[in-house]
Amino acid sequence: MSIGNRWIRLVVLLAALALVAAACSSDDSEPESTEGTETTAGETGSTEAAASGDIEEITWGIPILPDTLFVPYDFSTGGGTVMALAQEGLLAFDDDLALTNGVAESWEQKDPTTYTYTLREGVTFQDGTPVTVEDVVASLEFHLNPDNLSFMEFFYFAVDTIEATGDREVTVTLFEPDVTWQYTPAHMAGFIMPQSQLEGDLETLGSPENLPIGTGPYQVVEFVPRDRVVLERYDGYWGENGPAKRIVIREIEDDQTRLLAMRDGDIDGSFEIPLTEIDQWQALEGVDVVTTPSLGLVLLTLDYFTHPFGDIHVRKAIAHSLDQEGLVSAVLNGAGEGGTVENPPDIWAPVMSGDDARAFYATLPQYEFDMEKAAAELALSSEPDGFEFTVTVPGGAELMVSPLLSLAQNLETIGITMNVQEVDGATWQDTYFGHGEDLGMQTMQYAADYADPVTYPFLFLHSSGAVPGGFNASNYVNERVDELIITAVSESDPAAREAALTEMHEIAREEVATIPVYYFDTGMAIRNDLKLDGYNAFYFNIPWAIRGFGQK
Amino acid sequence: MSDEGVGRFVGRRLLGAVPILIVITFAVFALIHLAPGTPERALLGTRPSSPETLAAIRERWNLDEPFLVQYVLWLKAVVVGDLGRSIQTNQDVTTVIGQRIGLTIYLGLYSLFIALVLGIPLGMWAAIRRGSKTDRAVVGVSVLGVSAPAFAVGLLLLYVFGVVLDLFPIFGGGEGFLDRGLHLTLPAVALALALLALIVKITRASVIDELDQDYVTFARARGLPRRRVMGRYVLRNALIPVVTAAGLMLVGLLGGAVLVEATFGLKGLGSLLAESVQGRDVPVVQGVVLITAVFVIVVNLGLDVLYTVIDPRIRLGRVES
Repeated sequence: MSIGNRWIRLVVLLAALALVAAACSSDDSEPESTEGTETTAGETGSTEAAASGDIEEITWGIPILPDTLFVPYDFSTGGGTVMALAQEGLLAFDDDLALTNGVAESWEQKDPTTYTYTLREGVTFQDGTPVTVEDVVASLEFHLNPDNLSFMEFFYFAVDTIEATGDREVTVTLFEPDVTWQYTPAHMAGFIMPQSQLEGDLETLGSPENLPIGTGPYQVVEFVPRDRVVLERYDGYWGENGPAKRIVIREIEDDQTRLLAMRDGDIDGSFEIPLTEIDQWQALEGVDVVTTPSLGLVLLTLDYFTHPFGDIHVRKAIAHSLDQEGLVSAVLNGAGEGGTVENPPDIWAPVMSGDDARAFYATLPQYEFDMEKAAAELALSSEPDGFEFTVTVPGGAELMVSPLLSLAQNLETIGITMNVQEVDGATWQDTYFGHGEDLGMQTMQYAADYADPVTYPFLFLHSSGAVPGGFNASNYVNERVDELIITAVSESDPAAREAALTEMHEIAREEVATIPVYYFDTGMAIRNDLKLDGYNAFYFNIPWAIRGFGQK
Repeated sequence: MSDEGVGRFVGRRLLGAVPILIVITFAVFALIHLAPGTPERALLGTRPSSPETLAAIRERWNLDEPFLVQYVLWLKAVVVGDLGRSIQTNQDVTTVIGQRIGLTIYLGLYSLFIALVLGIPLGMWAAIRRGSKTDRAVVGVSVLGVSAPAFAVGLLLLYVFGVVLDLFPIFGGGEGFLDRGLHLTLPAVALALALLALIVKITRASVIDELDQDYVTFARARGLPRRRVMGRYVLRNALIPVVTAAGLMLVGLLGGAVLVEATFGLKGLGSLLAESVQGRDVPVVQGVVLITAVFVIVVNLGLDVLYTVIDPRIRLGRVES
């Protein structure tokens, strides 16, 4: 072999390496903008306040950003945290989670199945075009059309027609009275987009090449999926705008890394602080940590058709074996409350106050943590010597796994062997929603989309949910409970709803339909020279950067 | 042994790779279908949905077709260069992989580079001082590096160099060649430490073998300077096992350093594969497996060609019996 031949091979190899190096340094979809706050060491995100109280730029770090900014195809808290700044619906949730006006200046429920909304004057999209009734109708109807495969279609299950009934009026009619409809226009499922975007290329809508616009106070100007979003203040917003001119939202999936980023000043704030590590965040200097009830809960279901869970004494024995106080303290670090019924206290807001709800809960059977009572109940059951069973839970979901591990330890002492099996998310979903035989014990963590006390009972206790794809993994079927839930869905009078729901909970609690574990909070960290007064459970559904946000 | 031209050799090997790729992708396809859980349910998560929507999603992605039909449909598309669309994000699989592969290759090559630049000299040093305390210290320290899990080391580096000393950014992959280098230094070091022991030990063993050879004794006796003997002769001859190990490591690194990516918030192929398996995103899983398999084949091929450059005695081609 000649020397020349060898050198040729070497040159070819080096050329290949050079090509690889070139390929590595650029990715197709990375745009050329510079990173705002990350470049200089020690910089904490330029927040020099101009004379007007303006903030140049803030950087927020959250666990997950979506792959698409088109909300109907994403529907996640990460997506909402971004898009609720850029988009809004006819209505909105105010600081107390109650309904308030948004793009609509007023609304009326003309009869139990008819709602009319009157559009505000002077509302424009971020491209300057005025909002018309056609845009509103197109945005809401999008979810009605099954071909669109909207993830939020279930918010519209009760809707019959959506029509423009005037040049500033939209009318929605339902098949039957459904009091939960009223919240949809305030929720992400009711965000308004230009008809032109919705009728354009849906394949690319939400991608960096085709960013959705809205009527909100900020406009998305840059998007790198699962990496960052940049928003700029829209000065044509109809309402009072926020102090930040530019908002950068970064994805930082790892909780420890996010903590370090907060400590280091790379981010000015973060949502969804891991409750299990909240003490580490609270220990950070220069950082405030704020928690608020999330209106979410974790509960256990026990399938009546899987032996021996159909036995009321077995159900009570298990209920008495759950150390709720210990779990709230150890797992949630105090950021939450032990569960009594399938509704957190503050979700009763449209019907009664959180404290009134707690007073009601105190009148119900408590099934307090007491292993002697648990043993006594078991002795009365069909399996007095104990039994064995397995429960699957999505691995890594700490708020679901820890209660099960704790419960298993306690049950062992009375002769019940509970095997906790961590599986991957899709496998667990397959089991829960597959709703097969031997459903046994299941666990579910659910978060509310709006504050109304009928949603969780409808999902977990109504007989319509005791099917594949449904949430009623207890297979709980009680005619009276069904009746009362439907009453609470169709009645708008708060007193009538309160009567129906309280009676319903009394029955279900007596029968231990499910075992609520706890109601957990959600937490935010924010630089302590900033404030966000409007932070609440629906931070991902409100334009948080204009809700009492700014320098202290 | 006949000396095949490079072109023919490469061509023959690439052709032989095709059946391998089909077997691999079919096996992965079968495994993901055997696993419980479905793409449409994973897509919707724990949100209420109607049976109609689930059915519509299944129809859209041909999930109701017979298993073999689905695979053949995928294969037919791949042959014309279409890797399909991601079920979870609706983006082209080619785009999704393209967004991530640059970072993974950069990180893999960077860690390998660090491991080689540190490991080869250390291995040589240990070999020269064979049996001494230096030797034991070098091997001991490098084994320490491989024992500590890469993500734990990564977190430690992140804290010391990213937070306390503020020399490096804490998360993200950076943009542009140099900025990316800055962002990937800590993760690359974390990964390199895990590889270091192997490089050191292989280099050490191989150099020890060479040092025992007659020609080395002869060259030294003739008065050739030590450095020239080591660098030009010993090292060159000792390199073959090291190159082999490096090639295999590169392949392993590209499989995705999932935990390191998670710690540093890097969007590479590792995290992509993990996410798509969890989401039962079949097109993306197939795409990543295919690209990775192609890469393994190409790297091995490259190694074989590289041998002939390093050692002129080695020729490409078949052995004639």
